[in-house]
Amino acid sequence: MFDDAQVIQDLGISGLTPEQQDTIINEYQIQVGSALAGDLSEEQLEEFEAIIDGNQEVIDRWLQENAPDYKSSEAFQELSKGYDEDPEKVPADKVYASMAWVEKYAGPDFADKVNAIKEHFKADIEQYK
Amino acid sequence: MAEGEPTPSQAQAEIDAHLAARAEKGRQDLLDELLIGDGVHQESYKRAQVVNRKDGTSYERAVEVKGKPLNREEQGHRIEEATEYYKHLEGLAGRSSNHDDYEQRLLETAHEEALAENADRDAADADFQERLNSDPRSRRLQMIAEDIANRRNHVVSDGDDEAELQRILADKEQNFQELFDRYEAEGMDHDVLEHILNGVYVGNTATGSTEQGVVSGSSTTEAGGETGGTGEADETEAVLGGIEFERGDEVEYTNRNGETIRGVIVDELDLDNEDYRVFIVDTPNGRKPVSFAKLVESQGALPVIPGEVGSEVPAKEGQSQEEYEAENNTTGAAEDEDEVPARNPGDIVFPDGSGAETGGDGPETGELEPKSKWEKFKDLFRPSYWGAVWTEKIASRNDRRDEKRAAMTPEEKEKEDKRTRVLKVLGIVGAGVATGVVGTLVVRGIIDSQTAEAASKSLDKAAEASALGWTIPDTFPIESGDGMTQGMQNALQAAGHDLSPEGYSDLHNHLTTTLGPEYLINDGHPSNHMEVDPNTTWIPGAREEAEQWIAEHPEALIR
Repeated sequence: MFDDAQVIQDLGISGLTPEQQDTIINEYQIQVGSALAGDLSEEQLEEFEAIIDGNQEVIDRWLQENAPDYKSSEAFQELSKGYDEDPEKVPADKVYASMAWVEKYAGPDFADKVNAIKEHFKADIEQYK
Repeated sequence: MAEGEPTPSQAQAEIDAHLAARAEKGRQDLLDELLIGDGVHQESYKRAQVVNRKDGTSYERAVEVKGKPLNREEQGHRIEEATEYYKHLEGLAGRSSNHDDYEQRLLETAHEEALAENADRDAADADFQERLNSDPRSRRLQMIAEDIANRRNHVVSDGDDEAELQRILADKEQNFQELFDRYEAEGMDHDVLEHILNGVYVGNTATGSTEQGVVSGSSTTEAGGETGGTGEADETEAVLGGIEFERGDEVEYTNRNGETIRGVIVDELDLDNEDYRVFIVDTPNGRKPVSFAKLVESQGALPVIPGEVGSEVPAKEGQSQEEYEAENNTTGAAEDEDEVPARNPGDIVFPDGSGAETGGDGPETGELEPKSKWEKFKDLFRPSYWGAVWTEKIASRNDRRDEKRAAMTPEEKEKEDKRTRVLKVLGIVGAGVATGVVGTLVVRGIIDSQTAEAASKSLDKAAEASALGWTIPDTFPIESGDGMTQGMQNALQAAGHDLSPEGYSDLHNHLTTTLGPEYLINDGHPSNHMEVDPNTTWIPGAREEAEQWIAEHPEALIR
């Protein structure tokens, strides 16, 4: 999912050098982000930015308003694991909030958009083969 | 009515007024016709327009534009001519007692004008057709444009490999674009280029077609009477240089319906055009005229034009492929047809020398098929290998972004960087959520640990973009009594970190020395006297400077 190996396989770029893969993956991720951002307002993007920046006030407020029972969810509990071994691990509420935020605001057809972008990338890469 | 003449009688005055009104209407009608004929109100056509997206990428779309008008000077001149003419007619009307004669003359004159207009237009069209067909580059582009248009209009049937059709279409569009750009840079007739481009994007398959109908290839349809109304001949250029056909050769080609037709060449049309050859092929459906270009294309190769993109060395006229390869030292690619060429990306050596040993997964297209000589030949002379090409494409796009950034103010750059980072993280998270595995499961509270761990790593990865490995929040609260260092502490603590008191003092001194005392924007303006403000932020560059300092002084961190 977030694993680069999966993206590499999906785009069919496993034969490239790591630097080339990084370049393409970076571009792919920006394109996906741009496509999703197209339907969002500046305020919404600022809110998302605050969440990924770790603005605790924004995170807490958003979770309170949109997922008040998040702490009892299995997802959050799974995300919360591992902090004993890795205290520097990104806070689970930040991760949870970012994913839930995207799912809420990206629209019902965003999975189709992402797949379309992926297919476009694959076709675009393919023509150079 | 002429100046200085005695005032006519009331009846005559009425007649004159009526004639003058008619003359004015006729003048207006003729002006409108002139303008319409000159294209100002002409039916619009579509052409390609490059549209730039916010993220720096671009795409082409068909846009409706007015027909090409005469230039303003010509329009004005013709309007003046019409105005003068009607002034003259008005003068005549004033002196004539027979308004029927006048009207008749008016109609005849308008008709003559219209005829003259038509003649001018026909001459212009003929001139354009000459320009369209006289340039071999134009004929080449038309051939590809028509092929593209046909492929786009092709109705996919059950037996079609749609993915393969799309791949071929994309390949041809790429070739068209490269040739188009090159010819445009060479100064090729712009009107001709625009006309051909319209054919690609509007879908008009006629090569050189105008209101008068298809011009090029008319000799073919006349000579190839067996073909019936439409014929199957490509009204395009046949390019010499590499492949030869002669009577008795068994050939196959793809007709306009996408069907593969097999036959034997029985004759060649005697055309007065050495660059354009048409063969008569005896097929199960009768004898069909087929162009040289169509036969070559169906052999699995594109005709090579000297200097065409993809051919580094021009082929000499009449030169066979073997002679070309021997002369240009390309035998390594085409000596043995049984030899399977390297299509595995891992076997391709990139221009920088890398790649040959990378190995890795092969293409996902399954087993490799032996290539024709022409395929091997094309591969050798492609401008670049696909991995490097793709990254070069992205790099050039990034170069354009960098150019834009160079023109930005620091504030604009800061804003752009922030946006790019947000988009990237949005893309990382969004791509994952889109799989339906994480997002929905997060909401439903069902997630596997592997996915969760990967999710954590993704956000870590975004944070690594900063020198620190984590980012200081862009905004933070200043509460009553807080100073600048307290404000920074509020920011760091919000990110789960903290400095020692000495650390904050040293950081403050560093920022003051580097950026000046007012490195925070408080209450809407840079200041070093803090007011209560829940959204205090940094001046451009200050946050990054703070992160860099902390990264260089980890001893200042207490958590």
